[in-house]
Order: sequence, then structure tokens, then C-alpha cells
Amino acid sequence: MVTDFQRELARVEEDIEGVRGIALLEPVIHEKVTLLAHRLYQRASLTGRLADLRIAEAAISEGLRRAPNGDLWLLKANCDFAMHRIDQSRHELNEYPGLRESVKGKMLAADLDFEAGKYDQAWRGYQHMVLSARAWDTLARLAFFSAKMGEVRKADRLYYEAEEELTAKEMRSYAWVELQRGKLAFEHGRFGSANAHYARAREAYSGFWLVDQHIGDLRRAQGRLRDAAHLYATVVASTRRPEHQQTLGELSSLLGRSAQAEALKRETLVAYVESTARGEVLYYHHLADFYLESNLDSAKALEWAQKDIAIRRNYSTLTVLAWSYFCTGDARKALEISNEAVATRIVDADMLYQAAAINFANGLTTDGKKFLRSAMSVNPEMRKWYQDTLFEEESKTSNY
Amino acid sequence: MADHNDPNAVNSIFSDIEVSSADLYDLFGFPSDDTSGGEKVVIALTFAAYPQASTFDTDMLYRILLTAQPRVVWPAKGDHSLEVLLTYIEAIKEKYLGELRPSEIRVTVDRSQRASVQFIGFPTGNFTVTVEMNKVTTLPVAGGQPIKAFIGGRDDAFFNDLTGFFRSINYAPQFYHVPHWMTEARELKIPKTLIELDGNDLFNYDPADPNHGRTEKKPLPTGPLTWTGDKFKKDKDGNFRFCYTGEDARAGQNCNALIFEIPLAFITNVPAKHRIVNVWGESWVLKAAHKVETIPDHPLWIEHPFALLSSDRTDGELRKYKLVDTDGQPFADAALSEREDNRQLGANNFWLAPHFIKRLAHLGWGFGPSITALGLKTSFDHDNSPVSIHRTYATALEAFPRVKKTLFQQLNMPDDSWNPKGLDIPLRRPVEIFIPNVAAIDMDTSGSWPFGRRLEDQVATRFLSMFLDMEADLNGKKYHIELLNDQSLWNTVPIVPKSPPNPLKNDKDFLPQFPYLAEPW
Repeated sequence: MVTDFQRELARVEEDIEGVRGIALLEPVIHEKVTLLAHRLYQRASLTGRLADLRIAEAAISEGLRRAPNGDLWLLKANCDFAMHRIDQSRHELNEYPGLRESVKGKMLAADLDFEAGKYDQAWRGYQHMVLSARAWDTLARLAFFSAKMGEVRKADRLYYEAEEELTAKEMRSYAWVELQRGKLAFEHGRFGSANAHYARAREAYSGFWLVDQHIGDLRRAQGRLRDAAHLYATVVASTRRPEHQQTLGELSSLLGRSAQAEALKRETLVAYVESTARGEVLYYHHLADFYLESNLDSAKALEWAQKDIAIRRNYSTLTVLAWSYFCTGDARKALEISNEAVATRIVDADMLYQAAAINFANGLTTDGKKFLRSAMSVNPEMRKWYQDTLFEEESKTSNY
Repeated sequence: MADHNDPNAVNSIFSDIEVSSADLYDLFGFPSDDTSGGEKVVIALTFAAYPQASTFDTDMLYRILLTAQPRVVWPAKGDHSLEVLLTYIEAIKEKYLGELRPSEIRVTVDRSQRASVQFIGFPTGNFTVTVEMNKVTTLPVAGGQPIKAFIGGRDDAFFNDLTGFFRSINYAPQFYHVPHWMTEARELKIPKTLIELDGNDLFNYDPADPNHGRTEKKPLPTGPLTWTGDKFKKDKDGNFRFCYTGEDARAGQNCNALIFEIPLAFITNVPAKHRIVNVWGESWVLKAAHKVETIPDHPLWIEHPFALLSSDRTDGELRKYKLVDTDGQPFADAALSEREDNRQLGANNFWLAPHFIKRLAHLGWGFGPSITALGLKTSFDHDNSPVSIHRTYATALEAFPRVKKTLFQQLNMPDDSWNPKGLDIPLRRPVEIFIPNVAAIDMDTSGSWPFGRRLEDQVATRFLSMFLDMEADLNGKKYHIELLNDQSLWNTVPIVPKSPPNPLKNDKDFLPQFPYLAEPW
């Protein structure tokens, strides 16, 4: 049976084939060049494959060279954002008159602000957009921001409102919003609710690798490692992305499939390094993460974390940098960076847990306990893993 | 609203938006010529033929809403103040949001392409029938005359020089590749006009590029999208260049349609008293959530007055859908509401009254001077401006004096054929035509616009005639709504091409019998 994903991908491929051979023939027709670039970008968004994104990038660049127009500049800016080229993306918003001030332009600008850690600016941008152009994607962005700020109920209500704006012609978008609602529940330890949202996403839009990825993460957290590995195997087969390979490798390791785990680890590292050799910056974060988790080479982790933070200084990159310093033994520097991450007011259980550990390492027990309790409050599932740590720390300084 | 260029979300003019089955085209309504067995009203709602003509989109729900009322007479002659206008609007609002409960014909089509037609809120009660598509069906009605129904594909009965219309309002997406995100590059800040502006190279007809705006679009120029001239364009013979050509942009095109011929006695228990049948159409798309499974409904306030006020009227089925487009008066949206998605309010367009006044004044500053330049009299007060002007207003109060005559003048009909019974029926005024945004079919008339809308009415040109001064005369006869359709007029004015702005008839003959709209191509 043909899935919704396959059906949509087939339509996109058909459109691509329809213009591919003629789009760049002289005289270059604006509409065809733009259609080709747009469809290639659409394909890349669907498949999640970096190879497809690179093909789309090339078509967009060629289109801009031959028939520059506002649609292509917006595509270019979005492409660069997807590849973490933050400054470049921001610059491109100013390349076409009116683009920066348009709703799409403002939306991307707010996204860039968020990625750059400019949270107040991002908040104002998202709010203004919802007030001026209420649509599912502006509501979803506001929901995402609210979720990051720990306003969980508000975020879920905003996601619901976003869904109300979507019609039966937009099932993939609906599935995506359901995944966000599920992820929100997942990050706060409500696995049952997460499962329900993921199931609805799957029913709304069948055959989508992104749904499998989210369910795979849930199964992993639930301890259902075989199910998680099976799902991630389909994700890897679909996207061929190294970060998905990395996760599959971790699962293989947990399942005792050592040879497979090692092979995946090697392939993952090769893919990350090859990407950086191409001049891409997308995998700096992943490399830091890889060395911290898979290879335990904290020096290299620190090196990549520093490169990443030079591009975007947000709570996530600060958290990885802080942890890298911590793993290299520089607890004091780790504390400085961790404090900066916490000061963003983003509410993230992993960030809070790491802040706790760093504070404990610096002898700041009170703050450490505070952060640990916050982490467990955000995600009660963390209690299973970190309750002992808290008890241990409390016993050092109390009369237990 | 009745046009082919509806809310931006479904507007296929934008090159990155696909054709949508939610895009409503026209709403026709007129007393049936067939009075055997009693008076009947013909109602036809047409929309985009997607996925194809004669095949309906199963995610759609279409509504035709109807009320029947006595004929209402506008207040005493001379009482044409803004205060009276706003009082009228308030009264209409109270009626539509208060005690008024329209009846409804609701149509959905299943995967087997069987149409489910619900008749809701009629005096005889509610009932549902399954209708075979693309075939005339006679629906029996208990104790009364049957209803005729046709649900399927037809020839698109809209005959119009759309390119000319868009040229006259300097609508960029018709002529240029305008990204959908570029909302300010739609109606450019260039005066609207019936005749070309000298130096308006963005929109003026270019004989070296005759297909521009018809079958071809150009890349949007990056320079200023404005006009800095000060006169109308004239050729060497002293003729103005008409923005319109009279060519039919919809020739050979199809639509899908809901067509009904309904006994008046089915719509109202007092047909002798309720002589006006108000009709409007709506298109709704199934919400994504309800394509998956039913999510428990809970009241959700959204920042939209219509939704807020009508939330208690939305039934369980309708809550699964999202309103996309409305259809009432022709050109109420394209000309007056600027096609913004959140202005698709259908009958409940009272909130837009101030906007309509401002918008009409804005159009008047464009069309008025061009009418004067042609040697005709205009209803719009433009201070004898020698050329069209791009002017907008912040308040209705400011705009009102300019557009007062246009709003309140009675629109003369070309002859008495509209009033076959010779009754004392007042001529209609634009203010009551467009607010509320419904087709108000007068059963004692022929249903010719503005007393309904017959298939053969050239409504686009009649809409333009609102800007003529109905107190003026030409060759001893008062101006009327068919004047601009008269070839003999264009033969005498200094203009090329010398043709009425829009085609005078449809590209395919209408049928003499139900369903009246011609078969699809």
C-alpha cells in the first residue's frame, strides 16, 4: 500500500522531472527556475536527506545567478538556516526588497534570533507574527517558544490552536504539530500522552520517517530498546543522516550488538568529519555530542563545542560547551558557561541536570540540589536515574 | 463572494498556490421562468473544478444559506447621512445575528462520489437525500412542489475580461511573479482607472507583448512599483487606451456547481409576504484533526468576531470544518474587501461597513476621474480631478462625503423588463446591495442584477456603473446600469478599443431548462 509520504514524494518527484531538463535552458524562465528550486527543497524537507538538501542548495544558487527573485532568496535563507549558517541566512533576508519585512521574513528572522540565543527578540517576533498573521505556523512557533520557557500548558494549547487552523489538505503539517505535542509530553515524562500524539501523527500521515524517529526516542526512554532500534533502522534507511546512525549505534551498543555499534560509530564519525571538510557547520554540535557520549574524548568535544558556539550562542550550545569543560576537568569554566545557559530562562531537563552536576562539582551543593530538583520536576522520568544522585548529595551535607 | 479571485489562501493567481476546490466563483439567483405549480427560485453556486470538472473534493462541505423576508424600503429620500447609514447597518446586524436563522442546503460528497444533500431549517423541517452526481434529480417534497437539484460539472458561466479588471486596479500578481509572502505587492499604489495612465509601464498594454497579463507573467521589477505621471494616456489620434478589451478570460473553462430550483413555498410559509430571498454561499474544508479521528471539542475563543458570535450556532458537523470562502454579491470581495482571508464573512460583513465606505471612496478616486475624462458624469466627487488619484482614507467619516452619492443613489435599470408585473418596487442602492453581502433575489422581478443575478447578467460592467451619475442623461435617457455594456456609447467616446469592457455574453449558450448552466467542455 502506498503511504501518504510516498504519494507526496512521488508528486514532488514528478514536478521535478517536469522542469528539470528545461528550467535552466535559455531563455531562462523565472517561473520554471523557481519551481525547480522549490520542489528540490521540498523534496529535501520530505526525505530529510542531506544529499537532497545539497542538490537543492545548488539549484537555488544557480537560480539566483540566472533569474534572481524574491522566492529564491527566501529559499536560500531557509536553506542556510537549516544548515546552521545563521549570519548568512540573516544577510540573505536583506537581499530582496521587502523580504525582511514580510511575514515569512519575520518568521525566519525570529527563528534566527532564537537560534542565536536572542530570546527576547525571538519572543517579540513570534508574538507580533501571531497578532498580525494568525496561521498554524506562527502559532506553532509561539507554542515552541512557550514550551522552551517551561509554559507547558500554554504551549500545548497553542499547538492545539495551530491544529485548528489546519485543513485536510495539510495532513503532513498536522502530523508535524502532533509530533511537537507528543515531544512536549515526552520531555515532561508523560509517555502515555506522547504515545497517543505520535500514534495520531502516524495515522494522519503514514510512512513518515520523522514519526518513526519520535516513536523510536520514546521507546528508548521506555526501555523498549529492540523496538527503538527497529524504528531507528527504518529512519536511517530513509534519511541516511549520521546523527540517526549515531542513535542507532548507541541503541546497538545498549543491546549488546557490539560489532554493529562499532561500525555505526565509525561511519557516523566519518560522515561528520566529511561534512566539516566540505565547509559545512551543521555537525559541529553533533561532533561535540559524539565525543562526549560515544567516544569520551572530551578534548575534542570541547574543540567542536567552541566552534559551534562561535556560530550560535544559545542555551543548547552553551549546555554542550559547559559539559565539555566539565568533562575536561575545568569545573570552574564549566560553571561560568552553565550559569550563562541557565540565565537564558530556558527550561530544559538535561540542561538543568548538567547544571546540577556542575554545581555539585564546584561545591555548590544548595544550587546543585535546586537544579536537580528542577530537572526532576520538569521531567519526572528523570527521578529513576537521578534520585540516587540527589540522595547521595543530600547525604553528604545532612544528617541522613 | 462572487468572483474568481478569492481569499489569498485559495487564490490560484499566486503562482505558488494550487487551485483549490474551496475557491468559490459565482452565486446566481433569480426567480425561475417556470412558474408551473408555483413560484420557484433558481440558485446556482459555482466553484473551482478541482480535482476536475464533475468530480468533487471529498474534503469539502458547501453551504447555501437562505432566508426569505419582506421587501424593505430604504428610509425617506434625502436622509443620506453617515448616521443613518450606520443605523441601517446596525439594524441589519441585529437581524442577522439576532432572531434570524437562515435555512441551509449543505452538500458533501463521499469517496464514491455520491452527494449527500441536507436541507436544514426549512419550514417543513430537516431532511437529507443522496443525490447522484452530474444528473438532474427531482427531490420530492411532502405536500408541495418538488425541488430540482444538479450537483456536478458545468461550463463556467462567468464571462469577464479578468485581465482588463486587474489592469484597471494595477493588480501585480496577474502580471508578475509575485511571491505569496509579498503581501504589499498586490494592488500596487497606482491609481485605479478605467483608462490607461500615461507612463504606467508596469500595466499598460504593450503591443509588442500582447500576452502579458493574459497567458504570461514577467519577473517582478525590483525598482519602485509606483507611477509618477499626471495624465491619462492618449494616442496620436487623441484616444484614450481602455484597460479592458472585452475578451472573455474564462472562455472554455469549467466549474463545479450546486444548482437548485426551489419552490418559494418550501423556503417560506408566507410566500406572498416574503418576496425577497436572501442567499449566500460558503465553502468549508475539513479540518485536519477530523480527517484523523474526532478530537473532543472544546470551546475555543479565537480572535475573530464572526467566530465568537456564531460559535453557539456552529453545529457538530460544521465544527469539523474550517470556513474558507464566501459568496454573496459579485465583486463584493474582489472590488471591496481586497480578498483578505479574514474578511470572508459572507452575510455577516457588518464589521466591514466602515472599510467598505473607505474602499468605495478609494475606488472612486480611480474610476471617477476616468469616467469624467471620457465625457461621462460620475457619482463620485473627485473635485474635477483631471486624472485618477491614488488616495486612501483612515476613517469612514473622512471618506463618506466623497462617496455619499455613489452609496445612496438608486441604480437605474435600462428598461422595465426587470419589473414584469409593474409593481412599485424601489430601485436599489449600492449601500443595500453590498451590506449585507448576500444575493437578495426579489421574486417580483426578473431577478436581473441587482434584484438577483441571472446567468446572462454582465455583472462586472454593471458594478462599474455604480460610479456613473444616475441623475445624468445621455441622448435624453437617464444613465443606467447597462450603459457601459452599450456598444453605441463606446462608438462615440475617444477610446480604443471601442468595445464594452467585458464580453456581453457567455462563450456557451445557457440551457433553456434546468440546470440552465451549459454542459462542461
